[in-house]
Amino acid sequence: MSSRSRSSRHQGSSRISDDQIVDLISKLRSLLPEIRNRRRSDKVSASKVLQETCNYIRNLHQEVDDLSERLSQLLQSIDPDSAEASIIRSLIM
Amino acid sequence: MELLWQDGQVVVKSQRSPRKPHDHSVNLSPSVAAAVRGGSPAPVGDPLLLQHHHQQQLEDAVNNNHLFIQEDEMSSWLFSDFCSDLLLPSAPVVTSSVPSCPLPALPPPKRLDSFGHFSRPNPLADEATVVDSSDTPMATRASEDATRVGAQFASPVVRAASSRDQAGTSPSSASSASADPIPSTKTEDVACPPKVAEDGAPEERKRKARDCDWSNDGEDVEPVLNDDKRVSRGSSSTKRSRAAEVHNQSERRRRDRINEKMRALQELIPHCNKADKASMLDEAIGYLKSLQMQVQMMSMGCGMMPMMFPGMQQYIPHTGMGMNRPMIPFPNVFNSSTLPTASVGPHMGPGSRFPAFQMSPRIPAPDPSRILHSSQSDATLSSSSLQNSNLPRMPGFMDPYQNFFGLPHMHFHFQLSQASTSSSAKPTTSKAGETSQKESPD
Repeated sequence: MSSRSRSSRHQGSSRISDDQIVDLISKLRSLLPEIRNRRRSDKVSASKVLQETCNYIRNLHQEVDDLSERLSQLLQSIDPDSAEASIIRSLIM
Repeated sequence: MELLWQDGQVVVKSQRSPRKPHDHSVNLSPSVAAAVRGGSPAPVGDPLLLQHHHQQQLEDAVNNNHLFIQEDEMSSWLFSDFCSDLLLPSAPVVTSSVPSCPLPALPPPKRLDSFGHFSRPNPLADEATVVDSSDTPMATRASEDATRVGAQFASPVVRAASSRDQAGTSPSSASSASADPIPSTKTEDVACPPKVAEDGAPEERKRKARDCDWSNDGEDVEPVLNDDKRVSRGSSSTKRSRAAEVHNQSERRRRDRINEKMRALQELIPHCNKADKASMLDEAIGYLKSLQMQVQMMSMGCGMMPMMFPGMQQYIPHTGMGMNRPMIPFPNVFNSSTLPTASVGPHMGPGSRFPAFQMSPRIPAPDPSRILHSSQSDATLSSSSLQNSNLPRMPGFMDPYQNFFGLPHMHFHFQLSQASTSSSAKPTTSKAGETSQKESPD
């Protein structure tokens, strides 16, 4: 890792190689549903990927909250001592 | 209380106003005030009083108002005086600095002039370029750099002068009176530049952490210097250099955008204290995966809930619903919890075969009809439906991410790993650990 960054001295004194970052960005992109399905996915810029990631994480947070809400409602409808309830309780964070 | 570069001069930033000399003595923070007052013996000139000043700060503040004004101006001029002396290569720095420095009674406008040396383009290129960068958009950074540079300039001179002047502290004559405030302030002002440096240093570090660029960590400073050198020389501003400047600026803007997004991402990720980009991106990837998993599980739980009563057990397969490898229906969990552990053993082998799933973030909603269909295909399993304790339980691979979710009581374990090591590559290690645990709580 350090040898790669030292060889890239011309690009600036970066300890982290550009390739690493590109690699990570592509991995991140593969997780994002919107960008993944888009054509010409090789041209997506890093800032766009980051933006989409932030949005996606926020969406997922929202979904988790909604699901927790639903699960807690379901929890009320069943017997609290049952094993199902314990499962649901463990799901709700 | 800070010594700040403001509009081309160093001002002592106090609470009310940085310009009013009358307020300075009142608003001085105790440390700086002590530093300033400690070196204030000019007309008083008594070594004993030096000690007194440390103890009776307020009284001195009242009594020696005019003195403190002078001291303040002196302390803030210190940079200018010594820097101008440094910047003017002709004047010998050490010996003539004392006699040639302006008298304490100079009015504030003089500060501007002395700092004019500081900010004008100068034969001493490196200082000037650092200083001149205050003209560029990077004004704040340059200003802090300038103050720190000034501090660096001042402190060696201060130290040299103070060591030299320790002998002469008797202040009777006028010339030595003008000389003495300076050495005594110098000794105290050694404390000031480090303070200024400290003020600048953490911010500088913060700035560096913030501006960790994709590829050019150090390059932000260089283009600025290069631009300023070009501007100051004024000669080599060819088209190419202008294009390069434009490119640099657009590159800088792009980097700023990316850094901003990185910061936003970092705030979204819990417990992310990583400073460098790669590890932060790693954590982001992991967190995103775990979040997706969590949403899957919860949605599945919501979908499965209506079905969760004992009669439906047999219809719920453990061979999965086309979802990610760790996904198991929830009823298996409570089955295993109610059943005796003795039944675990014999059913481990056949029951725990698990098809290899691909990681698909988009989970199709649990489909009861599909579940029924897939369960019927596995006759051996449905026959032992009541003894489903061998069925794989909730993903043990979630454990690495439990620090994200804070699930200490997530006791869903995978029994899968005993029989089929092939089906799951990643979670095997955690599962192996889990299987040993599953015996005890049950």
